[in-house]
Amino acid sequence: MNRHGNNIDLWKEFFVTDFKLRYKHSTLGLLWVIFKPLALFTVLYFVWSSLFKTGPEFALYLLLGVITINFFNEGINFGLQALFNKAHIIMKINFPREVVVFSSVSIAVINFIINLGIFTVFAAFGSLHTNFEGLLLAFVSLLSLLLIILGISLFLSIQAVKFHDIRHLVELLLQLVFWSSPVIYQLEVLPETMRNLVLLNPLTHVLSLLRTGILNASHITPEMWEKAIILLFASLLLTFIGHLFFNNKIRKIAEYI
Amino acid sequence: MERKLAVEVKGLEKTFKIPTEKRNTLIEYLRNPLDATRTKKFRALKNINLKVNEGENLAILGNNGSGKSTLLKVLAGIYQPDKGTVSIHGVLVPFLELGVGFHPELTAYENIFLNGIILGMTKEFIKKKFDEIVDFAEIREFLNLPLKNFSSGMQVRLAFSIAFMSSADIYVLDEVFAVGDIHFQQKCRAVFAKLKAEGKTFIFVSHAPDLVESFCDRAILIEDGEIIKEGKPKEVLAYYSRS
Repeated sequence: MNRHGNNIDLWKEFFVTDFKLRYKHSTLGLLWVIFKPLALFTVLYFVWSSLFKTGPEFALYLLLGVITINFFNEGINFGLQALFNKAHIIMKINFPREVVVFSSVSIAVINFIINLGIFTVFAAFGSLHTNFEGLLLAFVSLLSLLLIILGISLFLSIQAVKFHDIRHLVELLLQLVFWSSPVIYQLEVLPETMRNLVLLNPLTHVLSLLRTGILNASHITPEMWEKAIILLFASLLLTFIGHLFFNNKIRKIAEYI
Repeated sequence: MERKLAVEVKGLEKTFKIPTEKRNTLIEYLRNPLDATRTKKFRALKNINLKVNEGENLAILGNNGSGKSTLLKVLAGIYQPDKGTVSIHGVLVPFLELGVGFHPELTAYENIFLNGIILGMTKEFIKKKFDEIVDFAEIREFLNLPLKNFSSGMQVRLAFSIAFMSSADIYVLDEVFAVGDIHFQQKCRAVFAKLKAEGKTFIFVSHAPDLVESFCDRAILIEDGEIIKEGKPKEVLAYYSRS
């Protein structure tokens, strides 16, 4: 049998099945995918714009931030549970285990793409300043984000099988990541010590590159490209390390379950 | 004539650490991070040596908890050996359970693809074999019904039909024989006979003596993780029922 062809089919099958099952029994079905980030955005927008003076461009800034951080949260959550949720299959048959992590993270990717579509609709009413270079920069930053998610997921999916309560810890950490990334605020408003801390968060850089690329492409500087390339390579390294860890531990996964 | 080896197991050892207290949360680990001594070692398999020729049908006998299923899981690549080697020559498909990955909310149609792909088939392959699977399981009029509405017999029939479409060289089965009604069991036996005639290798665990006797060329008896008897099915069965 063609094992390689099967791996791609396996990835698709897990992906399609999980996606179908996730929304099968909800009345609104797929609408939840866009409803959740949109609701968060609406709340944050009204709270923020009533507290501070914000222009219409802030709405797009915020929306883009919310759907991106939502992508990160979902990716980590789905990736984390990937092996755990497929434990019954893992105990019965041998197949390349990373496929379940990839397929789980793919669901987050699809959700994010749907949300990007919604963003584009919103953006049609707002002021979008992008060009080819800007889109390229946005693409590189999102690719880095995906690699970061994969790297962390490969690590966490194994740990989640060993420590059942790790997802509560991760939930907590994701809250921290949310507040320590410039999703709802702008980096410039922070006092310097805080700003330096927030700059240690790689998501800060993902968000700033992405936003510049899509909302402010004329302000792209060569330093930003430098930053984007460094980010991409660091993310690649993270995925690589995650994969090494995964390969090392996966052989014994059936014994941890 | 020299027969080719399908499976060779040399000096296989498998030990599990059985925690004397279950630690599955972080707090439980943090309380005693360095304390690794609270586990008992359990040698599930001790120095197993086994050769199975191509086209041979081997039965594994033994009491519950003797290590049969652990051995099958090592052969299936789910557990890694602690010591020793396992070499598999050909495509091995394990059926430790029928219908792996079946989801009750999905239709029979969807489950055929899900299960088949998990078993290692490609989507193309299943499409080609689709009619054969459905006809063998005799479920054509229920294809669009969710699996949860199937009787358990029908589910097993479907699972079995998918399983034996896979083009494996070596089948590893864990008590998945007695399925369906008498009519279906006869069909299954015919399939086994056909696969056997094609020179496929079977390794299976069974508690049905008549099946072991009529279907297998050789049997081994496992007790406490060791092979204690090997030979003709009849002899091994007699030894097993005596002890």
